[in-house]
Amino acid sequence: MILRPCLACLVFLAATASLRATPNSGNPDSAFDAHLKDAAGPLVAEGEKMYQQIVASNRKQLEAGRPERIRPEELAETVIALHRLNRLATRLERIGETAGHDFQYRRIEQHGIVSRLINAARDLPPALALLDNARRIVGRSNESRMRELKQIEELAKKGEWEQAETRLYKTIDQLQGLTMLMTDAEVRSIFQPYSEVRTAIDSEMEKVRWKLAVDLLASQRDANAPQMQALLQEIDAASKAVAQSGAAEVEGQMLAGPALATHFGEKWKALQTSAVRCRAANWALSQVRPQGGYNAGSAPAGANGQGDPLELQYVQFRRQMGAALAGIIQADAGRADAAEIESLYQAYLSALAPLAPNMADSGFIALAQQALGQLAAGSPEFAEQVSAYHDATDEMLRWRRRAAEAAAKTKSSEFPPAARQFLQATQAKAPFTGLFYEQNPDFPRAQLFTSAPTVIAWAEDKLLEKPVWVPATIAVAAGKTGVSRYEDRTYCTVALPPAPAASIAALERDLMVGDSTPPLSLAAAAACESARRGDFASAGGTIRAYHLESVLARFGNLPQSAWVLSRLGELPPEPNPTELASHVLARFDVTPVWIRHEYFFAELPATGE
Amino acid sequence: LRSYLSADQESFPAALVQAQVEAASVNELAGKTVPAQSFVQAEESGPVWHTVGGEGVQLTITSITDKQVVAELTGAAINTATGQTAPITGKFEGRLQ
Repeated sequence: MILRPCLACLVFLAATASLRATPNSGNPDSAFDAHLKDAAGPLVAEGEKMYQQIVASNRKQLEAGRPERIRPEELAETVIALHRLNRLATRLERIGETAGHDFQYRRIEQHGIVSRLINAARDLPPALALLDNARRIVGRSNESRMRELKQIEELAKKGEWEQAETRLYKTIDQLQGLTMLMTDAEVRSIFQPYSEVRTAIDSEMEKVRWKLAVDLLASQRDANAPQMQALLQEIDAASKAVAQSGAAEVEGQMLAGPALATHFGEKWKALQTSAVRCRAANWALSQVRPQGGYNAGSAPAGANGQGDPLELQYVQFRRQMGAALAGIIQADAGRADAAEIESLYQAYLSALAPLAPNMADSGFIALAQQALGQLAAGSPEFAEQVSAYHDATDEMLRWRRRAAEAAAKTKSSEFPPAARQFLQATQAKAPFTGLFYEQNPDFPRAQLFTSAPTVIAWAEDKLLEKPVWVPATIAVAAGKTGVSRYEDRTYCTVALPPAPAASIAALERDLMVGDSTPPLSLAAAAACESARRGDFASAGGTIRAYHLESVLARFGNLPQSAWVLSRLGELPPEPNPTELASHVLARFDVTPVWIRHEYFFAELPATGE
Repeated sequence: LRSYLSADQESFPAALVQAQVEAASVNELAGKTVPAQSFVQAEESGPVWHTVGGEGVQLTITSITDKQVVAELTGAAINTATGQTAPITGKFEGRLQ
């Protein structure tokens, strides 16, 4: 009784947190997630709060309708908040946080509104009274301010930069509000005494923050460096043990060959997530750049057209992994006696069925089939059954795939690919500066040229409820959601319909699969497994919600379950990984109207039916 | 039953008709009518007529000799281009392999 509401709360909080994490159609004012979660996350949250207060204040002033109703004291508070947001945005920009770039665009937009409000109110009695009062306060406080300045300079001389910065900007922020209505000459004269120490403090604090960001990113990169050779060696050792005894000890457990295949498949998924995070940390390192020049390194790996060494190693690794996994089966094939062949064969099919369709290496299935063939050959009678099964089902599967492909193809004009929808909805069109240039859009490299809330609002009528083609999806969250592969800076989540029972039953009937008659080929096992799980080759639906995400934050903090964004053995594509700090990707939440499994196609009943 | 020897030798129009039957020998099937799945594609990249998700077709084995089989099918198939179901009939004559 107690547990149920608690779990519901947790689910709710998780959903809320995810909505707050990044700008989306339901909450355009949310800030981008931070790449450096601990170091920058609190700053991003602070900036988001500041921005929302600025927007609320400006909205209230605009809604007042007439200049006489503008409240100049409140404008002064907003001016101070804008200066704080500017500082915070700059700090985030310099450490490669997308949120910083976005806050700058947001600040510029809100600053424009404030300037118009100031100009409208400037000559009216409340503003004139405020100006008189501000001049009196600035004049009276001159002596105490100069004493404070001297102390700040002392702190700077002693190298106590952080304390100096806090005190300096406390004074400067107050002055920004007070000088809002003053002439340019007055403003220059008031701020001039702070100029020298301000430059020194800014410069020193940037160095401190640069160093911190570089250290954090380097440590993130190193902690996530994928241990490819270690995994291969582990599998090799396990294969040798299987060849001897049919089992190997890994992480304190004795596992037979099929369980080892599952175990190492899971380790591969974890390694792939690490590789993605490691590569993103490298990209981010190239973006940590204080004003004035030096940065953490040269251009990121892969930006020189030579290819990222990590990606090149990973391509080689995936081939080795395919061979290593097949090697476990071969080790069993060389050892097992005829009596255990059938059960071992079926256990291997069960282990490989969830993995094989998600492998990037197209040669893996042939390699695994060959190893399975060697295993089956240990029992001539069973090998004959397997061969007959292939004869009876291989062509059926080929035709089923062909029919499903052809049915889905007829939807292609009605359901444009997610990436094309994203481009068309967010490409610049004056006065909207969007995420892609109007000419030569550099697709798919979506980049902020305006604030995220502006992009979200502009795209609303071009995306919401619009049809979209979703690439291959994998079921997560206990089969409730399908997550699509990431391509061209987009990915989709699909609210999975109940399993299409009739289609699955027909597939199993065609493959002669039942409770006591398991599939006897890897393709058939994978077909049944993916149909039951709810993995689809494509889907079409309408966009229910859309989100913008920071490229660096998405991949730098990739959760383990999100390995599904790319096939096993490949890293999410990024054609030119330069200047990624202001780059974004889109996530569409999709309500499907049809789904295409590898081997069947199904139209879905309308929602609510 | 298929209109080609192997997938890599396929030419169009192409067809596959497949039925699951219980029989001790091929000759036992002569004169029998069995439910079947069928796929027909007139041209490569063109629409496919198929029975997946539909009622299927009935396949009647008209005659079987040592090397020759004659069969007729009748039923309904779905056209992938339109999603519509339409009646199909056909006659197959081929070599037993």
